Amino acid sequence: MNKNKKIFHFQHLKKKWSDKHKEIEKQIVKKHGHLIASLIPKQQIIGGVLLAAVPFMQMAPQTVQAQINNLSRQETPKITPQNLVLKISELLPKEVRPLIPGEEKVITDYLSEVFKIKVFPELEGIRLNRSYGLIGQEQHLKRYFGDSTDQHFDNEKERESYSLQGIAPGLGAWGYFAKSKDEMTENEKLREKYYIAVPTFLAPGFNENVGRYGLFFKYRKMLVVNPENGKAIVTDIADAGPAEWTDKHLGGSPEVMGYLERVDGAQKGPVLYFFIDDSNDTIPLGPISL
Amino acid sequence: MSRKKTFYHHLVSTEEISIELDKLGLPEHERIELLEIVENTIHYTIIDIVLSELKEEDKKIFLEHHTKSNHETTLRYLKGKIDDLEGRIKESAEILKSNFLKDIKELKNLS
Repeated sequence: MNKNKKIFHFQHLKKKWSDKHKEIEKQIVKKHGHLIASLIPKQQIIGGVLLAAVPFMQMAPQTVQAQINNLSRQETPKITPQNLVLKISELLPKEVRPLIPGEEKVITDYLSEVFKIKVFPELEGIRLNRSYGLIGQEQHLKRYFGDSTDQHFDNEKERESYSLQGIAPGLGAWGYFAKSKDEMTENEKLREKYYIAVPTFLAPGFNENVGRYGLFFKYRKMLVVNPENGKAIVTDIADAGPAEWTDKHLGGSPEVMGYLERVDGAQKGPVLYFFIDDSNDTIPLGPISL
Repeated sequence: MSRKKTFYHHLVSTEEISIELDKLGLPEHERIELLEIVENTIHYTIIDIVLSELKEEDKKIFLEHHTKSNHETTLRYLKGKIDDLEGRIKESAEILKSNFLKDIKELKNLS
């Protein structure tokens, strides 16, 4: 193909496709441009993350684009898992013991800042017996009547990774997650997948407020962090346990344990776990990145 | 060309268009420039579909997840909000892609 023809091809396609692109761009800015502008103050607060929005920067109106560029100059260095492990090790006691309120405060402030999720050791006047402890392995829970290892996994990879732990013979603290297999929602599925068991019965004030505490703990979201590798996951409370005699302070579903790289038995290790205030149910369950 | 990762990265491929552009014998930088226009056009279209389906408060949450480039979280969030999200993304991307491929074909017929 001669050179002139190639130039013609390129110019022709570039013009045609750029016109199409501009038209779509114009439409999207007209329909949704206000949303990008509304994000600016919040991004300023959390700082630094806006550079990751490269695809969106292209669709921002010029005025917003200029603000974004200004903000990007104020970017703070990105936290890596290694940074987090180092920082947490400075804040945590050497032994795995209940944290004192001052320790909880600095650690929750730090985790809230780096994960951009507000976490608390106490919410609505309720706290667990501890927020730093050893996590053990739990089994899967039945999500609906008739759930079994044959039906529990979405794909072969999940089955291979997590079927060995089996399904607990009893139900979770709040029974089945869904009315039936057909009626199970994605959210209900995720509640089982990323569940933890915590000793709700050891929470200060539990015996005097069983009903209120039960409502509070039911599927309450918690951020669980492995302080030794920086991995963190948004989980929900779906069971009560483990018993005090087990020497474990909480339990994680096979998927939670797998992601955090925590194991049961003699090599069991510690995690940090704090409540997430998510009354509007906007924070998805599952692994969370820095 | 290395595409930026997005929450729909696994659903949309521009490989076919890249191959057809390659057949035109364009220099590498021109092929990449055209592919970038294609990918941005697909991107805007998908963002438009998503934003048009979400409620006002959900749009802001989506944009916050999206700007953090937390693709798995974004996809999971959207799947909980939009029915058959992946099917709709695939369908829209395929329509756009077939139009781009048609343009290339027409160009070949012209010359």
